[in-house]
Amino acid sequence: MNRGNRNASRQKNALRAALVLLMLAALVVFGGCGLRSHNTTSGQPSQQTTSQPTSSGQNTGSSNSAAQQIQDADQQVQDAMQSADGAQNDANNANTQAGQENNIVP
Amino acid sequence: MRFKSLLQSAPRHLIALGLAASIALGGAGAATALAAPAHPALPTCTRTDVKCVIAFGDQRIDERTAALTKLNDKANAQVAAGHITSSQASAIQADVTSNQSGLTALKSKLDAETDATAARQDVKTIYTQFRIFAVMLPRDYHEIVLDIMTNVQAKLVGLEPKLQQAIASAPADEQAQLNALYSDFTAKLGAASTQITNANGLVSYFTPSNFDNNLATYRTNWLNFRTAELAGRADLRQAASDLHQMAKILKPSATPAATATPTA
Repeated sequence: MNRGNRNASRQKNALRAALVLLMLAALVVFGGCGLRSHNTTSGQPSQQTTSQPTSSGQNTGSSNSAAQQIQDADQQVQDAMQSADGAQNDANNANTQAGQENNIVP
Repeated sequence: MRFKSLLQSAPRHLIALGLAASIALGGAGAATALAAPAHPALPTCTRTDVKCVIAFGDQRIDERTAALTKLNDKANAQVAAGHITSSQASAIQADVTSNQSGLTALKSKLDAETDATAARQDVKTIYTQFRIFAVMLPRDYHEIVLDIMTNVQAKLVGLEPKLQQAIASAPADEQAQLNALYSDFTAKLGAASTQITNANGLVSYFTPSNFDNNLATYRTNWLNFRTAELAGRADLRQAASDLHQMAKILKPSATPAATATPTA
């Protein structure tokens, strides 16, 4: 009977030890994954860090949106005016080439 | 020192001189076409040398065809850059196509001639029927300029509500400057619109027929056209400058104050 009790308690201890080992293994595996994912994101620009200052800005919203549209339009208009200058040069060249219309017949 | 002061005062004088010279050259370019100096490589074909006449005519046709292709490329480039619409370019492309077709047909006729007198008549037709250099190219190149101006003007007018909104939301100490710029902006846009309309109204007059039959009126209209175009461009340039200054003042403040850096 005593021998049987001893065997049973040995089995319980072995089970406990196995459970502890499993838990330790699980901790090591999950911990490793956590560290790995942390390392991966740390190399990229953090969205959270940039979004925080924006939310604390004072002039966000519709006024900033209008201002941004004005900036964009300004850039487009400057480009178009430069293009108009180039087209004007072409037109001036065409004016000076008009002399080639000389009606010469050999 | 004298040179320095001359340089400082030069821009205004140069601009005025440039405008005057540009108008004068533009008008003179079309108007003096018939009285232009002789072609540097003018061949002297004998009276019956039909091949010589054909070769001369072919060269003149090739020059014109190449110039038309260049114009077509320029129009396409402006479409690709988004400065003129496909619809605006199509008028120029149609001009190019019809003139190139006409010149190709004329070349076939010329190349088949066996009589020197008939060949000479074909060469004459290159000038009188097409007027590529005297009429078509100057007119269409200026049309591209006008199309760009029209689109810029419309874009700037479309921006007025946004500007008003942004000015109303701007800090009080910036309002006076912004309102003054906006006032000039709208005035210059109105003036540009008038000049663009005036110039556009004259375009249809510039035809080979009017060049040959009403040269005096053609010259006057051409001069008026160029004057309106240049004035309209000056107005648009000022409006664009007003916008640029307003955009600088109204710069969006989305970036955090701590990391904001001043721009040049």
